[in-house]
Amino acid sequence: METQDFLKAMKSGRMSRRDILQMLTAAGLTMTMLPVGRAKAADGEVIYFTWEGYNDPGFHPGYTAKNNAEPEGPVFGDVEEALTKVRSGFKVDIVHPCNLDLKRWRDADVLQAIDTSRLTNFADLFPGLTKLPYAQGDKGEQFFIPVDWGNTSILYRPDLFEAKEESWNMLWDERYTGQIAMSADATEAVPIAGIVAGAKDPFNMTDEELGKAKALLVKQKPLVRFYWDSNSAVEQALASGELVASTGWNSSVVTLTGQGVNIKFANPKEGIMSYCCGLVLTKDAPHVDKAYDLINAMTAPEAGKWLIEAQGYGHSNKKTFDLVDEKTLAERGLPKDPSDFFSKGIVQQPILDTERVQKVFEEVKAGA
Amino acid sequence: MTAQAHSSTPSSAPADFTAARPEWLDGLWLILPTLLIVLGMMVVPLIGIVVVSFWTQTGFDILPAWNLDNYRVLFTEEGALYRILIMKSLWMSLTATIAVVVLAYPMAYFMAFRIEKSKLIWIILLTVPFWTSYLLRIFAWKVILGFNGVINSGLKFVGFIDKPLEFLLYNPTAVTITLAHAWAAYAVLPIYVSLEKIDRSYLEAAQDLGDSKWKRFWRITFPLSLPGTISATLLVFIPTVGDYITPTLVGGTSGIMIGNSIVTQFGKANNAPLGAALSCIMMLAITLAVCAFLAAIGRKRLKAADI
Repeated sequence: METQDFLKAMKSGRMSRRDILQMLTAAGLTMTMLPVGRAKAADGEVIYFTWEGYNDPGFHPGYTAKNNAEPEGPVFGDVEEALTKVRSGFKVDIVHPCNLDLKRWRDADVLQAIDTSRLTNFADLFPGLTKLPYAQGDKGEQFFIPVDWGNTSILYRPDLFEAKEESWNMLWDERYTGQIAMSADATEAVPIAGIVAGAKDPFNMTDEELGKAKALLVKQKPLVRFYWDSNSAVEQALASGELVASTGWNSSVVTLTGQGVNIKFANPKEGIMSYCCGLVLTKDAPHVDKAYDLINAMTAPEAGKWLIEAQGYGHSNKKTFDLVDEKTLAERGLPKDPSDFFSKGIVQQPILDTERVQKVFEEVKAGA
Repeated sequence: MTAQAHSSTPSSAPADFTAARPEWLDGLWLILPTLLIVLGMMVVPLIGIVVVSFWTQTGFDILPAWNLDNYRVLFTEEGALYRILIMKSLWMSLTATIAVVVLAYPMAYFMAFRIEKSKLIWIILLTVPFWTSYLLRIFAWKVILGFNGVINSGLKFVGFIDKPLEFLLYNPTAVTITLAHAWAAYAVLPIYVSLEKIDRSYLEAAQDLGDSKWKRFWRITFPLSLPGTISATLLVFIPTVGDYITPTLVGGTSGIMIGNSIVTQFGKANNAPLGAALSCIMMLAITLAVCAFLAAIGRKRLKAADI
C-alpha cells in the first residue's frame, strides 16, 4: 500500500481491521530486520576500549591516515569493570590495561597472542617494556604491546595546600577534610594505603599489612570528597578549588597547567609510583586487521611525540625520543630511557590476588 | 452471542465449541503477548537471580554448589554493612517519597481544580523535564548543587556567602533532593487522575452543609484522592530503594545505597552470587516495608478507597 493511500484511508475511515493488521505486521517485520542492517553498517572500525579521555585522535594519527576514520571508543574508569564487561561478552578488539593488571587479564583467558611480525615498530620498542612480567606467554608469545609509561602520584594545589614535605601522607591531612579525592580503583587506592602503612610489597600485602591499609582507608574516608573514576572530574574539581589534593596521573598536570591552574605533581618521599600501560588483543576480536593498524599507529614515533608533548607520558618507542627536545622532556620529568625511570620510584607490580584487594576497598567504600 | 446460544439450546452445550471453552481462556489469548513478555523478561530472570543467589563464586567461575553461604554472610559481623545499607536505603527512599508526594499533591490539586481550559497543555508542560534522559536530570542537579554550581554562585553573587557551601553536594541529602525531583511526574499523574475523578457535587454538598474549605478538603477531597496518593507513594518508593546511579553521581562517600553495593558485586567485586542474594534480600525488605505501609493504612480504609 502506498503511503498516500494509507493516509487517505485512515482519514476517511476506510481502513479495515485486516489492512491495519497487515500494516502493523509489515512495520513489525521491518523493525526486527533493522538492527541487522545497522550492525552491518557499523562493521567498519576497530573497537578500542580505553580509559576515559584516552581516545583522542592524537594518540593514533596513523590509524586515521590509513583508514580515514577514527576507532570506535567505548571507555572505562576502572580496569576491573572493563574486564567484567569483556568477560560477559562485550565485543571489543583492543583494550588498554596497565602492567599491574596483566596477570588478571591473562588469567581470565580473554586475550590472544599478538603476531609481532605484523607490527611495524616492534623492533624499536624498549625491550624492558615488552618483557614486563606477564607481557609474554610461556613460549615467548607477545600478549601486551607497551605504549605509554608514567606516574601515579598526588596532584595538589600549592596555593591552597600547605605541604611541608611531599609524601603520600598528604592524602590523610585532616586540615583539608572534604577537599581530598582518592582513586575509585582498588588496584591503585589500596597499594597507596599500603605504602603509607609501610607494607613491604604494597601490591601483594600480607593479611596483617592489608588490615593496616584498610584501617587507613577507613580513617581517610571522612576526608574524601569523592572517589573518582573519571579523570576529568578530578581536573575540574582541582581547577575550581573544590579539591586541593587528589591521586592522579601525568596528563592532568599538562592539562591543568595549560589552563593556567597552579598545580603540582608531588614526588613523595616514599617514592613516586610508576607504571606502563599498553594494548592487548581480545580473543574473539571482530576486527583483527584493523586492530594491528591501531597498534602500529599507537607505537609510531609521531604518536609518541604527541603523547609526550600533549599528555606528559613517556612512550615505548626509542625513536620517539629523537623527535622530542631535551627541554620538553625535562619539564615533564621524563628520562630518555624508561629503565632510568623505573629504577627510581615504586614500580607497580602485578597484583596476584586482585579479588582480595577489591573486596577490602569495596568494604571501605560501602561502610556506612 | 454465547448467552443466546445457551438460552435457546441448553442441552446441546457440548456441540457448541465456544461454550465448551471456558471464558477465561478467551481472555488468556488476548493477554498472551503481554504474558509472554512478562514471563520472558521478568519471571525467568527473577528465578535466575534466586537460583544464582544459592551458588558460589570461585575465581572467574560461578559454581552451582547449592548452599546458604551468601545469605549467612548477611547475618554475620562481616555482613553488618549490608544490613546498614539496606536500612539506610529504605530510609533515604522514604524521605524522598514523602518529599515527592508532598510536592506533587499541590501540583496535582492545582491541575485538577484550578485549571479550566487546555489541561492537556499543563500535563504536557509538567512532563517536559522528563523527556530528557534520567542521567541528564541527575547531572543537572550536580550542576545546580555543585561547588561552582547555580546555587553557590547565585548566593555568592548576592553576597550571602563568600565561600561555596560544600554541604550541598555529595551527601545523602543531595541524593534525596535529586530523587525527589527525578520522580515527581510519577507522583503527580496518579494523584491528578484521582482528584480529577472526584464528583464535584460532593464538594458543593459539603459546602452547602456548612463545612469550611479546610474541613471540606480533609473530609471529602483527601479521602477520595487516597487511591492516587497511595499508588504514587508505592510508585516512587519501590524503584528508588534500588537506585544506584543517583547515589553514584551526587552521593559522594557517605550517600551510597544498597544498589551501589549490588552493582559492585556484579562488576568490580566479581561475586554475582552474593549480588543476587543481596538483590533478593532487598526485594524482601521492600516487600516488608510496603506491607507495613499498607497495614498502617488499614484494610478498611483501603477497601473504602477502592484499592
